[in-house]
Amino acid sequence: MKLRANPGALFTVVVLLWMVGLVATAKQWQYQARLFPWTIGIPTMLLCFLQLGLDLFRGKDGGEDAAGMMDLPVDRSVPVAVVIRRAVNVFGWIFGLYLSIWVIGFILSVPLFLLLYLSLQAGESWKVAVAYTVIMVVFMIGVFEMVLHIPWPPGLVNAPQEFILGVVERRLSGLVPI
Amino acid sequence: MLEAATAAFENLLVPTRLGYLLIGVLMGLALGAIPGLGGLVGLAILLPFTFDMDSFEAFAIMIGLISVTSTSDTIPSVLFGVPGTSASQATILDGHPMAKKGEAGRAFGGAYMASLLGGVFGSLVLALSIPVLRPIVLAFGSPEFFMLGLLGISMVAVLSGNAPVKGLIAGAIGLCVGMVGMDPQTGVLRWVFGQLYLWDGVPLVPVALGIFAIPEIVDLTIRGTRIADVPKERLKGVMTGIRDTFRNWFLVLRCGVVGVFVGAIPGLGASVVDWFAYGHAIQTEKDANKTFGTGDVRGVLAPEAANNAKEGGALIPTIAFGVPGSASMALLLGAMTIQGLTPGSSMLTKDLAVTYTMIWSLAIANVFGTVLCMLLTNTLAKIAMVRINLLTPLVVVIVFLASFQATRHYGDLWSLLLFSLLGWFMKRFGWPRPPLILGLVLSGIIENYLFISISRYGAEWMLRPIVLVVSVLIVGSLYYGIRSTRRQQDLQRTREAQVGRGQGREADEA
Repeated sequence: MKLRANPGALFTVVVLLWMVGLVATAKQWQYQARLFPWTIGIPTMLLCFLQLGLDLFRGKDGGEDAAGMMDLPVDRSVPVAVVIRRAVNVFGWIFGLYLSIWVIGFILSVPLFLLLYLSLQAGESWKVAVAYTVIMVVFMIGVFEMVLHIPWPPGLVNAPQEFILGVVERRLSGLVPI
Repeated sequence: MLEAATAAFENLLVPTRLGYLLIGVLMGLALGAIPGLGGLVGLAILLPFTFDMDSFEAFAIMIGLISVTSTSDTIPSVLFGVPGTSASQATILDGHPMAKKGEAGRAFGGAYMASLLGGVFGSLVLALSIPVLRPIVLAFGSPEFFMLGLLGISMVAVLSGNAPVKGLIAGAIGLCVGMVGMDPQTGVLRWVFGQLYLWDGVPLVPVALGIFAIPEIVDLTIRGTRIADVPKERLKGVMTGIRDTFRNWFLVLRCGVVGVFVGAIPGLGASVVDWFAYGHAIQTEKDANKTFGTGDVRGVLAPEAANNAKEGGALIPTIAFGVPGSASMALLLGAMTIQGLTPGSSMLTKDLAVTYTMIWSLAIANVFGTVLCMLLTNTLAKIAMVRINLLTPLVVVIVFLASFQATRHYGDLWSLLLFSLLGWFMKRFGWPRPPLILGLVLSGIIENYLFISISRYGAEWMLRPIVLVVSVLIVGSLYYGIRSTRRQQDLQRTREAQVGRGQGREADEA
């Protein structure tokens, strides 16, 4: 049998280490609290070793196209290098949105994200980007602020968000109950 | 019981509840028509918005959504040869050739009517199964429910992909994630890493959105382009298709039975139900081997009747035993827990009104879905062709907002990001994701059953007759799953070897 190193095996190793960590930390708990974690965790560690063996020695195990019957299929027509580049790009935008929410809050981050994504990433015209953003912001304020009354989390720099929410509240308070 | 069913119907007729059902149906139709998205993503997004609704409203909108994705998914299947969801893959085989022959309208007429009849049949079977199941469920105790939980996860794990070991590990990951937080029995804080956010456990919403919604939208963005152009001609022949359905009523009925049966078995479901029905139609219909695959309307009716009937079947184990057969049903089970409902005996006794509301919602949603599809096919076809570039930021923003609804804490967004990465890697490396969600939803429930079983019966709970029967079923399902995977792999290797030999010969000849 030939050893076949592959990224799938690396992912299995990550899962295995995760399981080892979970089982090891459960050791210090009293019996009742660790019963279920060990009942599940220890056999799973063994399964991870088995999977690692399959990844390393058996070649394809139905492997990378395995998520067939109940899960959504994976499109493998795009070359791996392109997949990685585009995935990093999209996840970059998603993590960027999170960072922006953390710094300046939801209310400013959402329109900023939409405008930048549509114009810089999607290549849409500014006219489309602005129209799309305005519709989305109206939807967000309408549903989440006026109907669901979300307490928007404060950003690190919260003054602009507070200012906007104050303006929205003042403008709309005469029209509909906020 | 008839009184409960009538009362539930009256409950649902309240305008706000019917309104929620209609909203769910509209969302489901749009999601079903967009290839790559589906009821599961929609359900994950919808889940946090049901927190403030009463049980009747919450299940009206959620069941409205999942009932009709299998109706509108026919549109891209027939027009573009691309399945709207995994449940309409078989519809392409005859639906798309029909569209090429100029019979798209007939295919839609038949598909919608078969979907309606299948969906209503599924809800009827669900309604009729309740009096039969009630005494069985009431005879079950904690040990039996514990084993049923394990059976559900193991069946989904081995059947939801071609890699049973990965499926089992994914289920176990879900169970472990479900254990995070304060242990209800001892008060021990498990894997909280000093974070107050984790004391109540990892919320279902950001995990479900991270595992399913973000990876799908990332993959759609990676693929990039739109799928096809919008068809220009108006659809004709819809009435002919409807007449075809009634002419083939017995086929539709049989495929409805297939749909209910496949839906009720944990681990099968959407991606195989259409193939089962299509295969059944080929085996039983006259001259099917000559005409199927070339645009025979019966090849459209069979999968469409089955894929709408499956929801009724899938709700049976979910409601009666708390064993969801698919990721959608796991999310529905999560919604039940959020609404303070316990699946199992109480859904068939004190919460019977909610159960019957779900059944009525299923039936009425199918009627709404069919009527709307008849009216809006051209519009839905345009939705199916929306540019991914416009869809991505919309879905990302909605997912962020929906995720933040879970506990309204920054931790929800962290969980979303973490599980997005995990979900995407799982998808790319062929790890089935539904078992993870099932494990997460069932973790608290089955740990509780295990605790009660041990403290009440000691080790003797393992010798109870039903426990032994379910244990045999678990071993059987694992054996079957592993054996069928091996067969598929052998088949694949043989095919690859044949292709390799063929290429070798071509090279020699060259």
